[in-house]
Amino acid sequence: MNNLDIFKILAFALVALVLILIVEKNNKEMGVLLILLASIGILVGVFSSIKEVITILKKLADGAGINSKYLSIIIKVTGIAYLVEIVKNVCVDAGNSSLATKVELAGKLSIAILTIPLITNVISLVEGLV
Amino acid sequence: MSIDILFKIAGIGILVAVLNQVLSKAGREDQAMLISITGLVIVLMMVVKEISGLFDTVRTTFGL
Repeated sequence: MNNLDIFKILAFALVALVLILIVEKNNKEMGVLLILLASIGILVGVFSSIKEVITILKKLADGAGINSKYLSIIIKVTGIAYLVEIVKNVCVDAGNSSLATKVELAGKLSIAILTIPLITNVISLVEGLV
Repeated sequence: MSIDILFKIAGIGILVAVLNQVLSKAGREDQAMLISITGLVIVLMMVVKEISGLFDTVRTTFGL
């Protein structure tokens, strides 16, 4: 991502903000959909740079001799966290914070299930030491 | 994704709001409700396509 892209994304966000303010006054549901669409647009815009960062991280981990299984778990958790955050924020913006809490709970649970192998590994390591 | 889909949806939103108010003032509440539902469905179709695109990109990028 170079400098031009960040300016593009900032302009996108400002235009989206104005459009949301105009539409939301008369048409609440349409405003929520616009918020969702704008956040999706910005996230899709930064995905190429996220890919770059991930490849660099993988290269570093390979160089350090870290098992790539662990790194892929971290990357998966990051992806789940991004998606959950988007959906949670849309729910909060639509004024439905109870649904947002449930979405957050589901995200936390799925992350916990992903990290269970790591936790069991740590526990078996400690058992081996004792 | 480009910005024109954002403009498109904002335009649909404004149009639906105006039509809704005109029909409400004219005393045709049922048609006003139908128009607002139709606009919502059209916009929802467009947004759902974008959401599925985002989910696909996240799935391929993060290896989910």
